[in-house]
Amino acid sequence: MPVQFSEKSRARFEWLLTRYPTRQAALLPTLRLAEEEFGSIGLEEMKYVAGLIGVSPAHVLGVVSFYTHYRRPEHGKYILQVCSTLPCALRGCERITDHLKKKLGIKVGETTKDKRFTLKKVECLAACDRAPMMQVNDQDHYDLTPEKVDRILDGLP
Amino acid sequence: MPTIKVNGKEYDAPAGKNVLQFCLDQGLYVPHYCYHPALTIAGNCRMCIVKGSGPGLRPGLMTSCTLPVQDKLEVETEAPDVQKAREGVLEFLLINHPLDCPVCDQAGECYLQDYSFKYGRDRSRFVEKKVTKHTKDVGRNIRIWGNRCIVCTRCVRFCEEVAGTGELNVVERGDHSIIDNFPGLPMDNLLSGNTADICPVGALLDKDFLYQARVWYMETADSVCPTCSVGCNLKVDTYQGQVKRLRPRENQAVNQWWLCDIGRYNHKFTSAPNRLGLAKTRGVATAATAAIAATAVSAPALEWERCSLDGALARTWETLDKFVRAEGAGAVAGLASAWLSNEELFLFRKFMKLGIGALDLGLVAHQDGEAHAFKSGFKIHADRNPNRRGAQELLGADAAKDGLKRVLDGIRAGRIKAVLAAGGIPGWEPDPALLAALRKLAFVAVLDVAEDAPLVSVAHVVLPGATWVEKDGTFTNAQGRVQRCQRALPPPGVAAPESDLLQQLLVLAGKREKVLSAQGVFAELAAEVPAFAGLSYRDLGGQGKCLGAAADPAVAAR
Amino acid sequence: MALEPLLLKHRNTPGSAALEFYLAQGGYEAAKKAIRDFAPDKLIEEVKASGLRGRGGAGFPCGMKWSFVPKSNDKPKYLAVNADESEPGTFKDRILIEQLPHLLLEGILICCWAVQIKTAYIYIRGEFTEGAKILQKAIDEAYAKGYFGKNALGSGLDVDVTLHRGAGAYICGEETGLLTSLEGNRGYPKLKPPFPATHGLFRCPTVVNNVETLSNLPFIVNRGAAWFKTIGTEKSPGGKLFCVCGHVKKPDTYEVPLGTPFKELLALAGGVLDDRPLKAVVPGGSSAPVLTADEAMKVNMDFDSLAAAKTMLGSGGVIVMHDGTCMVDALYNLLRFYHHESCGQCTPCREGTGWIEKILHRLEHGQGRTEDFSLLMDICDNMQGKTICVLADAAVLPTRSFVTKFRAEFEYHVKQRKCLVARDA
Ligand SMILES: Cc1cc2nc3c(=O)[nH]c(=O)nc-3n(C[C@H](O)[C@H](O)[C@H](O)COP(=O)(O)O)c2cc1C
Ligand code: SF4
Ligand code: SF4
Ligand code: SF4
Ligand code: FES
Ligand code: FES
Repeated sequence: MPVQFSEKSRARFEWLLTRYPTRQAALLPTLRLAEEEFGSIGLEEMKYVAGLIGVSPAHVLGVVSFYTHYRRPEHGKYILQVCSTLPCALRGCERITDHLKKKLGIKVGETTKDKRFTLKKVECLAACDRAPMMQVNDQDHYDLTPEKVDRILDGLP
Repeated sequence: MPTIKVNGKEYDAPAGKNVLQFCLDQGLYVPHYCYHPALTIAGNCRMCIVKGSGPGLRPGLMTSCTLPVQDKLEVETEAPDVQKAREGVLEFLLINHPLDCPVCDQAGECYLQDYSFKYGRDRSRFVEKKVTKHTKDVGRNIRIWGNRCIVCTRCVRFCEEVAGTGELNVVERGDHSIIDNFPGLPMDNLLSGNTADICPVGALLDKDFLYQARVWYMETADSVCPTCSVGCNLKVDTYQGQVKRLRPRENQAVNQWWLCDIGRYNHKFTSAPNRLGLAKTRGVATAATAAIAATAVSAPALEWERCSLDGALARTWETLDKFVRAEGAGAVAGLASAWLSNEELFLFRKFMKLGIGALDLGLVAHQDGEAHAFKSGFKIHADRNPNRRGAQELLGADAAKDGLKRVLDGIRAGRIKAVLAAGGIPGWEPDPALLAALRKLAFVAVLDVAEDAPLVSVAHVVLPGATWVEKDGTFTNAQGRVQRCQRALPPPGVAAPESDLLQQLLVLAGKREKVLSAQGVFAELAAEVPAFAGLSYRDLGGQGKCLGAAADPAVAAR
Repeated sequence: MALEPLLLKHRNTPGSAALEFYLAQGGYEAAKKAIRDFAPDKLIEEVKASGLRGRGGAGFPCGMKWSFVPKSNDKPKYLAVNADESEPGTFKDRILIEQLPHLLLEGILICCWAVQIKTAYIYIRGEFTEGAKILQKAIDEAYAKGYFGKNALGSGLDVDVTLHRGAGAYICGEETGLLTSLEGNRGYPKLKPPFPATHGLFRCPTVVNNVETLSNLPFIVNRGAAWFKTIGTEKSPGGKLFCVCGHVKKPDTYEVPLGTPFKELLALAGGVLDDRPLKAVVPGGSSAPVLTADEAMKVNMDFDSLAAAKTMLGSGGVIVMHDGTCMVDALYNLLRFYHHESCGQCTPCREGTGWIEKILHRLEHGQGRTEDFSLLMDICDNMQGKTICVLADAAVLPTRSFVTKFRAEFEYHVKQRKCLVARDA
């Protein structure tokens, strides 16, 4: 089934177009819209958005692959993004990553077999004052300890 | 005009032009990868670094492709820190580049190889693991060796800005950046072959040419594309008697830097197994007498006999002459193709008018194809003939337009009994009515290049001609530009350029003393045909001249 | 500190993001005052006079930047607010956005009035989901009140503001990478010149300002340039948000006058974690050259003092390292970051960042060679100043300073094939 925006997203998209002098400038926000509506950005979604914006699918592929924060079809239900840049490293983020690796039985960059978790190391998320930290989908979690990580994961629906 | 200094020497330079192009125009070589005059400036390779200073400019190293000419600018292209920067860039490009030259098709025409020779270190300081990238087809004709790609984005900009199709892009980021197409949507625009030409390294290669020949063993001749009436300028690269590839040759008035894929790959017919290398005849003696007895035996019913080229030429002339004597000159008609050169069309008409005295001449041409236009303005014409315009001038506008119909009517009415036809149109699918009519004739002599050419099927005499790469000559493109093709290969067997064959017929007819070179014929043509007045091979040069250029300064300015 | 907190005044006040709260604090009065009392040119002069320097990294004088925008131009003008905050060790804009979004919006109005800009975009990094929600709500509130839109705040100028979410790329914090990204592309920095002031967003004149820079404007308008200059130093006036992180007891954002000695800032942050000896400080976000403990304890935190110490104030991200830090590992971590974040557009940065990272990886894992030091320095030379944007320099500066200032530690790694410091478990 070809992907298509709902009425609501379509209206939102039309509104986006009014905010920029070019259609192309609406590309990133439209991809966000697609991410919300379709759950992730795969090839079909990219093609659809390319058609809406009026750029080539290759352009959209280039854009999507440039950025790290779009949800892709291969991602699990929860993307665990552990910050691993220096300030977090100084506060022991490695322990958090190691703990998650062991707990989930996957390496960084992998997804659990049940497609529940994807583990990613990411760069500074601008919360170094509460390091170590991670983002689980859109939710930030701070001052992590292995125990706290367990609680967070266990508490996920 | 601003005055600038390059390496201490003063120049007048056009304001705003980028310094790299200005240097290249002056013959000062500045190494570069990403800059291409047809494309927007990306400034990403950093190879064209020079040292600059001038009003409002912070002095230091800067990329010359992004530096506009302005008054009192001073540039150094060979200062020690410039050289050091170049060496640095080159080393960066090579650290993740495989040592592939021995197996790389680009070797010999690779900017990376060239510059490494000039600026490179003899030993790599890079001992780490190289980043590896994909090798895959990214288009109908094009494959990428990702490991060799230097991410100059020429190919991406080409698809975006020239073809207007945008099939290629850089995907991923940082040193994982790689050129790719969207899955399932390969590069299939009709200009795609150019991406391999403009790729400065051996990353994009033309599958058609892959592993065909090492470039340094090839021979090259300047020529023109025959596949449509645009007349793109090209180079014919040959190896061991075969055309290996066609490459564009820059001509701003015609094709800028490009060739379309239709023309680019349309050279296989030159070395196809069906090429005619021998002359042959069938039932000619019978035909001649039969003609007079008016009981023709159609050619396809007869068996072929091999024949020497001289014999075939003699029989052609003698038989046509017999028809003229028995039935009058009006019984013989001529059909010439829009694939013949200007020289050949001129000779064809001369033979038919002077040698035979024929009344009817007609033009045969390849059926129309689809016309295409691209974002940059590049066009592919529907007229898939290189020389319709020349034929209009040289056979006469009337003959080119209605001649064929008159010949057909004449055959149907029984007035025309014999035809001399010069074809040589690859992939031609003529109107079946034409072949049906010719098949009824008592005598058909044909100049053609392929055993299975439509005209051969109805011929009594076949004179083996030459394809455009096997002869010298000129075509006149749709805009009236007369452009030269140079011989890149000999024709197969006893085959000969049609201009030679037609001149020999003129000799047999007693209308000429000897066979001239194409250049000599062109001089004769220019002297006799007003539209070509004043033109000569010399001033056609590599870029051609428009008809009437010598007479009309406005045309000459084109 | 002598400074009354301004930007962080309401840090711990619940509900501070709401419009009513902001209005109750006298919110949007500065914007009204700017429109009422200042002709656009005069406002630019006032901001120039305040000496406000950009808080995003480069420290460029704000009023001067505005004055580069051509006055008479048929093309539209744009404001791009840099809310991409991705410089490692920096987390101040996030706080401003989440706690007091209307302060930023008011700053935007003031900038738009001064430069007569009708369209502003706030480019917020993709990972700031919460911040984006808060900011969008604030924008909606402000529109509802007529602060934005047609005849914004009764100024006669139509001002539109649009929140634009990024999608995860450090390079989109570089101002031209940000613009390219906003235009719907891979976030490749643009060739300069021409500069954004004349050829920015959609090739039109554009002002790019950081969140903190803009958030200072309402105070400058309310209290005057002269007042602003009483804070901080002569060349670096005003207060500044410093993000102190790493090995300190109270990592947090601190608002102090520019020119505050590092020593005091460290004390504010509770001192070094576990009371261990200080080893090194990166004073201005990860791109700034590192200072040794001695250097750091002597330096004042303002643009010029830090420049004199051959480093920079940058984004105000202060990364503190105690004696348990392996400098090879720390630098390796940073170069992994720059390698990962290089946009890959230009050769020296695309290839150089990865090369340095690989060498450091070898060093860190006991595979280093003596010749690696001169090689590293030469790679740095071949990168610095030879690229499209300064991300390459941002990778080079830490590399050079770490290797030079902590050379013994790097050499230990080569000779002993292990760490000099006993690291924490
Ligand atoms: C690699 C790189 C990353 C940057 N990241 C940011 C950033 O995240 N936020 C920011 O405000 N400025 C960042 N900057 C600085 C901007 O380019 C620009 O100087 C700033 O947004 C201008 O605003 P200001 O004058 O108000 O400081 C970055 C610069 C570079 C070279
Ligand atoms: S494939 Fe060739 S033309 Fe395309 S970016 Fe790579 S090196 Fe350049
Ligand atoms: S456009 Fe016409 S002349 Fe040019 S390459 Fe194509 S077929 Fe040949
Ligand atoms: S210096 Fe690095 S980040 Fe900047 S444009 Fe070049 S490759 Fe991209
Ligand atoms: S380093 Fe982890 S949030 Fe900044
Ligand atoms: S040719 Fe100038 S940067 Fe590539």
